[in-house]
Amino acid sequence: MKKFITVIHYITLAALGFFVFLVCFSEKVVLPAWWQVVGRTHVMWLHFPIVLLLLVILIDWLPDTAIRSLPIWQLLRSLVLLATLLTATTGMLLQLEHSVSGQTLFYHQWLGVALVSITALYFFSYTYLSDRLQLRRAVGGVIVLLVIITAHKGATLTHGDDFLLGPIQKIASPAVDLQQAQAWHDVIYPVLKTKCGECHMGSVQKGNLSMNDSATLWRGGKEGKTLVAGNSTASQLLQRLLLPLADKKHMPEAEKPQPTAKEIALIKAWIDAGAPFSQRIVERNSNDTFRQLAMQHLELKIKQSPVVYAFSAADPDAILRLHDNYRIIKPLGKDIPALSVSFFGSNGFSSERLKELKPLEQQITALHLAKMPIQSADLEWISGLPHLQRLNLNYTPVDDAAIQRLAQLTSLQSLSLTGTRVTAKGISGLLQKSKLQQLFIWDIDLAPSDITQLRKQFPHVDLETGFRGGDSIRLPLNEPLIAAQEGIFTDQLTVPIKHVINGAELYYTLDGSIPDSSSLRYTKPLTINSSGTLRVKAYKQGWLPSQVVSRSFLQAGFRIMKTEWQLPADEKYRENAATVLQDFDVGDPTDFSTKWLGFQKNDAQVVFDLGKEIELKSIAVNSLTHTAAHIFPPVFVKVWGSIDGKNWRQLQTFTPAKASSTTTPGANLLKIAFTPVKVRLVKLQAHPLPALPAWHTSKGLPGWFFVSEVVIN
Amino acid sequence: MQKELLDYSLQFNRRKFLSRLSIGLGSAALGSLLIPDLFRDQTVEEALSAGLPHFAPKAKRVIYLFQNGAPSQLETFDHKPLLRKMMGQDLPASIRNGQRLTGMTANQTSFPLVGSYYDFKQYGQSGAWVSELFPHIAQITDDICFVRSMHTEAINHDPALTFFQSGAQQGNRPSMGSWVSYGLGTENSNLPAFCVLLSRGKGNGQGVYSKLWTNGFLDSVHQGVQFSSGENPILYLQDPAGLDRLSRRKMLDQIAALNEMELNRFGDPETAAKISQYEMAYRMQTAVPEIMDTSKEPEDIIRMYGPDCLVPGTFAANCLLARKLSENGVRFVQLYHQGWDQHGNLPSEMRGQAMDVDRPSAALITDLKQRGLLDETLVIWGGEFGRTNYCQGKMTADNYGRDHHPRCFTIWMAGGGVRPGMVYGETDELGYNIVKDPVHVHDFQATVLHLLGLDHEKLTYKFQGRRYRLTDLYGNIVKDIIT
Repeated sequence: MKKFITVIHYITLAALGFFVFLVCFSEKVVLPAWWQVVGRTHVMWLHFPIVLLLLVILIDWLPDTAIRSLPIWQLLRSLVLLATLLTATTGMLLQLEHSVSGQTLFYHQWLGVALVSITALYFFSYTYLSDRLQLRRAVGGVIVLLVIITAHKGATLTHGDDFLLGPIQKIASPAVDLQQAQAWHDVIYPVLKTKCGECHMGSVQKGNLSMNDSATLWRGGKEGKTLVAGNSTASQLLQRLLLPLADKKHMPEAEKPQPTAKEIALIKAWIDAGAPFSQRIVERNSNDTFRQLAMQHLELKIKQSPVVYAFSAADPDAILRLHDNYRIIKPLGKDIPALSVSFFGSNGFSSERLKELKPLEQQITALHLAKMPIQSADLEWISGLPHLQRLNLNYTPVDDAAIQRLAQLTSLQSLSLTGTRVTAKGISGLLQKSKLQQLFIWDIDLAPSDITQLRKQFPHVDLETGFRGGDSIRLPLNEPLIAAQEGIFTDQLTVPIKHVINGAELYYTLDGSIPDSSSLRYTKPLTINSSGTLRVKAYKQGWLPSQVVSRSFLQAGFRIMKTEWQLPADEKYRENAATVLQDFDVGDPTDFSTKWLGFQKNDAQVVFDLGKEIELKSIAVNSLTHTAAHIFPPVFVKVWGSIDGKNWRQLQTFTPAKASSTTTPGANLLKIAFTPVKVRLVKLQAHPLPALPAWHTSKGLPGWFFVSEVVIN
Repeated sequence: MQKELLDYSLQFNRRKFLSRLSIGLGSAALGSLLIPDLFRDQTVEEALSAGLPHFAPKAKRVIYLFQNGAPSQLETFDHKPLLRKMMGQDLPASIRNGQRLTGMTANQTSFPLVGSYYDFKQYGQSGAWVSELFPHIAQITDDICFVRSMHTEAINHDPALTFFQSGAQQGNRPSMGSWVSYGLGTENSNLPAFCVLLSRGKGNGQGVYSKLWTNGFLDSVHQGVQFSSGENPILYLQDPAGLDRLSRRKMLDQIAALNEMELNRFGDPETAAKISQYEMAYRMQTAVPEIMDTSKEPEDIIRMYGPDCLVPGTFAANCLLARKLSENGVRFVQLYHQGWDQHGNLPSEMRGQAMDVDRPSAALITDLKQRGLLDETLVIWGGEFGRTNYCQGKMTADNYGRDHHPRCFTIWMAGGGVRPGMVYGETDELGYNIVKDPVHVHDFQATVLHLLGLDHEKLTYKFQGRRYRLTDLYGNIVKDIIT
């Protein structure tokens, strides 16, 4: 053990000699390449003396002498100076590469030398110091202090000036005035600072390049000139930025944050403009590229910088206490003191609920009172809100006199008065006294001349008068709605007609003629007591008339007592097959499911028993046409009649009109008439279209036949 | 005391026990500093900051006019005159460059280019090109920002739509509206934060379904509430016939008293949630009919949106309703208009579809603007992908179709902090690939969240051991389109 310590001692002495030599002759030394490799191990060795020095010095501050006299400390003490020397020596070698310069390096280097010296003294005179604890502690304290400062300077060299305290430093970016902004100070410097500053600003100068100011930037670095005024392509500053990321010479280093394309364009334009420093941007020609890019850059920066409020946040307890379902109080965002207050539900509103906001008066910047029954006195209170910026009074009962109070709101920028009783006079009065930027005055009794006058008088205010002149838009009215459920009835039927637009006048006919404004006027629900077609058309002043809507109503003469299906409906569409044909519900033509029966594979064949002998005159079959859904009129409908159910007589073969590609989807009433004949039973057979016509996208596939109702007269 | 013990045992489950144990006793003190709510109840400050934007927002609300089925960009807002000149010529394979095709055109032997049936003109200060299908939108181009360089990953409706809405093609993730509800909460607690309105045009349609407005793994209060066009816009909200408000109030008070007892006995937070949800439904019973009532709308408004705005279930009516909901503090109003899937009959079907949406879409922007609401309301208009520059099926002088195309399409946005009068991005002369400023669906989502004051990387929810976000692992904010 002792021998080992002695060997260490001698090596340490030799290392000390070499170190002193390096310090004294550093100016004259020229390093071979492999020494550079040794020098670069500095960043590894430096951790040893930090740990060892702190350890062996701090045990002196321990009260327990038993621990202090452990033999391990002797070993560590012998190693610590060697480690310190190794670090300092490699550090000197690294410094000799001259790739870094600046004040920080200076301090780091010479503090390092001082640290080695005092550490050497301390350990060589340890025998002398061994029974002078207080002195040892004092010297130890100095060493610890030196270690901390030197190490911090070294870290600054590697990581940049703001590395350690960066996370807790508040970066206050001063407000930029576009008129005063200077090329370097306000535009280029902040960009270079964020992207290059870590290695080339403050006290750090990697590659001997400092971007601190115009002098150092023009001087350039180890690799030569950085800037060539007016020639960006020849300037290394731009060249390095544009090299491929993988290139070793690309800057900033690949793993560091890279400048954006816009920032590069800005730097390029700056160099091409001759790299001005103290020139104000506005002094440059207005079509100058650099000026334009710099202005864009500054405007974006101003816009993106967070708003600073002149007041502190309100008490969170007060906010939560005053916040409820009809009075919403919220900060604009996290850590923002400004509050937005919205009232909802006019029934629960009262002046008291507004005044209760007193504790928050400093913080309210937006107030939303649309549709609330506010009084003049409320505006009095509102006008005392010192920081109110946005106020919404849409559809409130405020008038000219009341809004004059708002002139006291010096911070108010945006005011909405849509749908209120104010007039041009009141608006003009308010605008003369206030600094409003935006005013919303739609749905207010203003003549076009008032608007022109206001715009002329207050050109700096953004007056939003909204959509006017709806009278000039001539649109057709919607179709009226014939609101009857059934289309078939036995005795009589009440038919209401509706229109969605208030005041639309409805004219109708029942005689088959086309209605116009001289036809019967609809005033109350119609009572229909015979078969016929109702046609309705809507009219209104200022609108074009609607399309004619028509609906057929059918009176059923005879009740069907029994329905017997000989060929059933398709299993997909045969719900309620026993009753659906006689429920007097013609069915919704857009919903095929429950009120309709569908046939495709086989004909529809059905026998109706009327219970007694009648005189048959006609049959009406309510079918569906919907070509897109493959639903077509049948090819033919055959009708037989019988009195006893055994002897059948064919009465008629009816061929409906064919559907074409332009046929609109909807119900299609097939009316089959006869020369009157006595029957008790009626048999019907309808044949679905076997193949869709050639114009159809699915030509050749079988068609469907849909039926919802059969009426026998 | 007994209640506190119960609280403790109910809320201290095995997972919590294990996860806390693993922190280790020694580091627990430090850990509690880094995980603020680990060992204590919510403080006043935290209750206040829940549902606040991460930073000051540009937009407070969103109205999303989703054009379901994917309207062709080539007949609407992306003007490509070269396609007319090259009508009928085959799309060069070098342009298609391996783009996968849907099953509908994969077997086509040729891909004949087809130009727009409709003419284009430039409008406004921005000089944006708009086709003759949209005469009203053309009048407001200076209020809107066209993004012509959208692109997506999916080539079929369901995955593309799901991707747009939830950030993933597979479904079951929360919809954008749910994320916004989760991030910002409700502005008016008498209405849902996320409402859904459906309408259908006459064109070839594609389905929409409730998975598009699902809350996914988020709490069910963030689910989209679908308004239907019938008598009861929100199902189960109306009192049964014969029940008056007072009886309802009494009944709720009695139930609340019972629930309160239950809460004191077992301390289950779900019971507390139930009480507050009954109360919200009660408040909605007054708030919703007020909003649905269009009888007080001035006639100018009806002319502006078109008379169909009074016919429930139409796009025009939904636009008007969207304005009313938004005006009353609904965070996210999601419209879907179906019928934009023009594989064939494109010229005639698109005319009908455009008739449905042109006037109301433009009216909505104007209406929000005149009420001072446009600068805090973001309006989005667009489909789930684009359509091919070549014809699907038979091509005649006045009839052709276009297949799905994910590589480029156009959407537009207005208000809410989006730069007005701007055309962003560019496609090549054949309208097949993007040549400038591409915007991926995740970029779009990140930008929308940013406008609402939400950082898309911070708006996360931990579910099954992983933190999820709307933009998954992607998304860059499109800063250039923000004011």
